[in-house]
Amino acid sequence: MIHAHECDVLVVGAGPAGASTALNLLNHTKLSVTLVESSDLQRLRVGESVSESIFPILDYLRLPKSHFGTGCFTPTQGNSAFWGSDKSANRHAIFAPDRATFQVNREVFDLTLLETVLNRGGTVFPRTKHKAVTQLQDGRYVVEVNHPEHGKFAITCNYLVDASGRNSSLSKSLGASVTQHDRLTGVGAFYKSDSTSFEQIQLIESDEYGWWYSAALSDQMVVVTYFSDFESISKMKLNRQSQWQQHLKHSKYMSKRVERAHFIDDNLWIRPAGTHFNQFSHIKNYLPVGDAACAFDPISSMGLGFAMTSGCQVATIIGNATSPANFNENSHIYQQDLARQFEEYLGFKQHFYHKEQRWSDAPFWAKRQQHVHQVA
Amino acid sequence: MNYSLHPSVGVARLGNSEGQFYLAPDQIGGLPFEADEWGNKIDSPVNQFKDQEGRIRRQGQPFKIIDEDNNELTLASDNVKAVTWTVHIANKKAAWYEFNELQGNLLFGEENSYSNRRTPWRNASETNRRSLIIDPGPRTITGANAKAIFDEASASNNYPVSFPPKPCQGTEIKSLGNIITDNEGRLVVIGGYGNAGGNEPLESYGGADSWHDDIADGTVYCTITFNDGQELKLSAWVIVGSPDFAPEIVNISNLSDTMFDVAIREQNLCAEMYSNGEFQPSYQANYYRDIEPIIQRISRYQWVSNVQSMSAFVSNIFDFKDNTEENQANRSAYFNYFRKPVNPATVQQTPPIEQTNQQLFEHGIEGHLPLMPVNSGSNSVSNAEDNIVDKFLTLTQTQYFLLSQWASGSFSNEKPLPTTSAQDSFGVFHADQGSVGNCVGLPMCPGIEVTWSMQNPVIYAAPYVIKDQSIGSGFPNGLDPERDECEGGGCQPGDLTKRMACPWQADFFNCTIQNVNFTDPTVNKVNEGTAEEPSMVPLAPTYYSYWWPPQSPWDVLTNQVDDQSATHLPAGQQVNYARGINSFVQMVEHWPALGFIRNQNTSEPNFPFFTESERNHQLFAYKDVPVSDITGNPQDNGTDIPVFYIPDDVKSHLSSGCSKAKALLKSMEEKMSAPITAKPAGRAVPRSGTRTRR
Repeated sequence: MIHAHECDVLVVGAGPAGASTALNLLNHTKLSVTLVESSDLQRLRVGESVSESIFPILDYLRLPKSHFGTGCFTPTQGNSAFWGSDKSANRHAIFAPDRATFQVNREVFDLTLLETVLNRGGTVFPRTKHKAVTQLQDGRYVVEVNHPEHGKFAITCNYLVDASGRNSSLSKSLGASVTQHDRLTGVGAFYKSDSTSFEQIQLIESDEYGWWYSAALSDQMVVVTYFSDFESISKMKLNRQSQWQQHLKHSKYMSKRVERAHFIDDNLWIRPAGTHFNQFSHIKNYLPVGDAACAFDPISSMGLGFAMTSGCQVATIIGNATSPANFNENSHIYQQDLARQFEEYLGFKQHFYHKEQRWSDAPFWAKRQQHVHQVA
Repeated sequence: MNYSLHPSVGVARLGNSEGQFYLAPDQIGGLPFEADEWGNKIDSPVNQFKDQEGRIRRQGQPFKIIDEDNNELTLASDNVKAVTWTVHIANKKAAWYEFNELQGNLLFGEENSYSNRRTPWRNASETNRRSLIIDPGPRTITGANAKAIFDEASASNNYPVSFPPKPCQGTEIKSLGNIITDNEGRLVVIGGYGNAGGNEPLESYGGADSWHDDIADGTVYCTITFNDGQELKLSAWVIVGSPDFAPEIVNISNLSDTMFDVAIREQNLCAEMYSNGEFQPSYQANYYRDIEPIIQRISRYQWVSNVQSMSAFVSNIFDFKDNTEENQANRSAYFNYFRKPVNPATVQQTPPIEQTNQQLFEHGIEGHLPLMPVNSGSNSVSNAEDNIVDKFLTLTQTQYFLLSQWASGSFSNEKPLPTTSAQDSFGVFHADQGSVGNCVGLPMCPGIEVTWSMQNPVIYAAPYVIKDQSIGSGFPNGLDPERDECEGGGCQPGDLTKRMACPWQADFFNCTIQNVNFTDPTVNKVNEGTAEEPSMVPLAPTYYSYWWPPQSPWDVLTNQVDDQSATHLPAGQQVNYARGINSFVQMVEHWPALGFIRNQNTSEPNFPFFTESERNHQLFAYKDVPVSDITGNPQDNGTDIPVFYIPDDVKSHLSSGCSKAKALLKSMEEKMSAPITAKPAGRAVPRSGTRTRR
């Protein structure tokens, strides 16, 4: 039975951002670190592609690539993007001309990070949902949490790190202001091949309302996702299997890819994938990392790398905090740094979307082809 | 007083429940007993074979030190100072030969030896044969409430312990089970968890290379130290089997019948019945002891299989116990429908066409009623060119002899008086029959718990007693992977189960029924493929035959209590027992979802009603598939085929980290349950006791 728990740093969320923050703190400080994770870790993780720039970050976390075992990072065999043209282009040519990309097995990746957190002395409470957050007069936080078997208990901490992902209800309840740039949403499904194995490539194909993305997860499995604006998805009812499949039929290449495959699960999964920016530096002893700080469009392949670099930055701020004033100052610097990165990202994003000119009048594309500045 | 250890061969059984177990039944067809955490017997039969999470409880086998009059020695006895147990179980399957039906069975003569048959080894490419054995070494416990685990970590340093590597499919074997002692120092051996894993695809009932399971068998030694310093050393054997899914339904020939048959014919158990190499026609059988059990077992087959042709044999077509002359024609007619057993030592000299065990009907291929028992024999799978064919089942030679005495009228119909003796009239301990009597005795292909080596007298030291190669001194230097105990010299741990399918789930999934050719006494299968890619199929015409439905049920009735929105079936419908488990791999993973076949009307023994119970219905999905979906002809849409299946689980396809997420969650939650160092925070302490805890 847990009555109450105390720690120096409480990290809400045990994904790569939370785990990287915790690892850095455990590597470089003597602070006690606790992670609360609302899921039971069994949820489905959709793999994604990353550039090789994440390996130096892993080295910095003292987690060499080899530690993840074979099969965690698969060099992308090839990719085809039908983006801006009916002719296939190599995706590198459009999105990442200078870097090799890898397909990450997110299950192995996330769990290895988390396992290392445990091995290095971190505490993780799985299946633990945060409820009310109260800040004490001395600046500490008391986070009320709930576990299905242990019931409600309170965690008191000096610093609160928000790694709760895109939905980040935590930042909203603390008074951060989150600027939502778009409501890109992914609706996806898994396909299993009936006989022949899938080509080990990524495939991207745009249409008037958004774009399809698919990656091979094994020789028998692919994930197929349609990204569009939330409003279009709900208007076209693409969250329903029949409508989604109907829409897939209209695609030229994606539908071909899965014509000899069948749906594995009758339920489509739906994930937010929009772009947003969190302004938080006025909140004491609180720092967001990863998607809770800045959320990027998946076309950028920036999410995972940013989750880890922001985790490292935040750990450094907390590790070096000598006084509340010092923390505040560094929190502002971090905020400004994020704003700079985000501004740069907005430029990339417009650049990507600008390459598709076939439907430049369609709202989905028109909106994304305008130059947007971060309103700081 | 002459104390000995019982049962002489105990039977523990696998279960995937982490904590829960019950105690083995002490009667043939009896229910097991409840027990507390230390194995103290609670005198109440088991009603739930699964725990709250739907996992099958393990069966522990208690061992007792008793004399002929049932006086028991325990720690509580006045003159006993200490009781010490040493148990050594192992699994030698992966190191043994492939299971090729009767190949290697030396009862059929030297020409049938493994080497003469060129039977391949399992995992033939592995040169370190001993590394293929799962051998945790011996464990010794003493006194009351002691325990030990058959895992790698707790093994003694100087023993050559061996466990298999982590497999790609299935679950790693980390333990073969554990032992405990109850409050009076009685031993309870509890088997493994039903884990099995390997790397190669499973394609045959015998299993596949690289696979292991956590079945085991081995020695049980006991040392009783008396207050005067004297010591008594006793020994027994224990085997770990798969769950008995129909505990109240018994095989027509069970393992006790097999051991009794060996004891009568080879160990001089009863000279009046068998001497000078032959059964004695002067012997008087007893209806209640020798005949009625056979009839009762036949009567219960219908609850797990469709054997309508056997129904007359359990109806009161005449008074079965009437031993008068007037009834003889009836008895003979009955008896004549039983296939005559063959003697393995001489059957090969008999022309195939005359071998009674190849004959389905009373006149061989012709006749009107399939002979009894209507089961497959021990080899209805491969052909005479390189194996011994044994198409259809017979009783044991001794059962058949006793039935013949009954037919001829040489039997008594006096009910044996109840006795307090621990032994029956042959001097066999009831406890020794009550354990193995719940295992398959025939057919042996390979069987469920053990196989045809149990028919060989050389593995026994005495009736029902396994011969221990070490004669009680144990195997401190490890076990031999290649020695054949059927050549003599006694058994080692692992020898009784090493021929069984590896993993056992392969045989369990594949072998409940067999289509057996009934026209050619030397051929079971023909190649319908090519020489390069053979596809062996039963030679037509075939007869639909069962292997061991009391252990591996096939046709069962749905019950009246389960939620029909989950069962998708009305109550009382006869359905396939394994419905929804559609491959070897699913059987390896999901065997605990299978139901237990239980008598629902136990208060009225004359009116049994057996239905399936405790099946994990929630695992399975259901669809009515119109025939038109298969034929493509819309006209066929008026008939549906019910299909049960396990829904494709996305995670199982994606999880290359095997069960890493689960393991990680478990270790975190375990840490959470341990007290966490913390001073009270500035918040009210949450109330305890309001949450449901398991």
